[in-house]
Amino acid sequence: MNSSLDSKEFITWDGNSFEYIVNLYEKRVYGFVYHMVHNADLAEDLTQDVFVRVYEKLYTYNPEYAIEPWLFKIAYTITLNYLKKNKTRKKEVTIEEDMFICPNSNNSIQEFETKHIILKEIEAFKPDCRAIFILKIMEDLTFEQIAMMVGMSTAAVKLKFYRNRKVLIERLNKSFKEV
Amino acid sequence: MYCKYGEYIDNFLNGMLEEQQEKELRNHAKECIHCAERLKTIDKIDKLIEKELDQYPYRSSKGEIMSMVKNKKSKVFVASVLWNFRKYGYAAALVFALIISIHFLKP
Repeated sequence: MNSSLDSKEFITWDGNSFEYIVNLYEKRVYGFVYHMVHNADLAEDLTQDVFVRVYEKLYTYNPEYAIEPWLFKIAYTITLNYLKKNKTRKKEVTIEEDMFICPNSNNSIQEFETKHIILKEIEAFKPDCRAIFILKIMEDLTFEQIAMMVGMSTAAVKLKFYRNRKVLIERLNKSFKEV
Repeated sequence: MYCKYGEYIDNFLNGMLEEQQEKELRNHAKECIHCAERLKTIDKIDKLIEKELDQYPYRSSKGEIMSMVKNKKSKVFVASVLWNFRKYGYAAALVFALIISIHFLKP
């Protein structure tokens, strides 16, 4: 379970509040950005940009609302802008690279293959669909919160999420049967 | 094998199953091997996706972030003061507009 900031204890803008937010959310924001760009160095740079923007805009945050949607909206906007500006198709990540990413895990070859399929399929989603999918699964945000973040209707967000989840389940199921 | 709950599983996959219907489906799966197998596969894959998304290489860059924002302190402070006083700014602009319009509407 992710720890969350109790917005009532976060009252005004100051350096301490910001440091608290970095401590609490840096890893989660990084995780979201990493799965959006699938590149560790780039994810690190973009995460830094996200928190600089958070610092600059912290005074506009209304503590009456949960901070996660506000924070991840900034992360979503920055990542999506980056992806729009750099539309050139990057090289596909190979299974060996996926194994290299988590070298200390005890996963078997078959588990790495599954991991590779999942990440490759998620990477193939359109950026907005990928963001919806990651935010729903990793952050467990509600469809309403995600809809507000990405500027779509709740029904559209729900449809995109379930359509992509279904595609992923079907492809994984097919690959399991092939093994 | 045909099972009328197959439609429920399709709806479950499409996110169109009501909470009560999902309970009904899960109860049915206790007696139907075919549906139980399909549900088990979906649940297993869901868990797998969640697990894989939870694994990524991570190195904290808190130090870099804190040094990047250090120089922005005064700029952000000014912006936050302006933001907090924006309602007074709107009120002042309104009063100003009223004075100007009264001045020009005078016969």
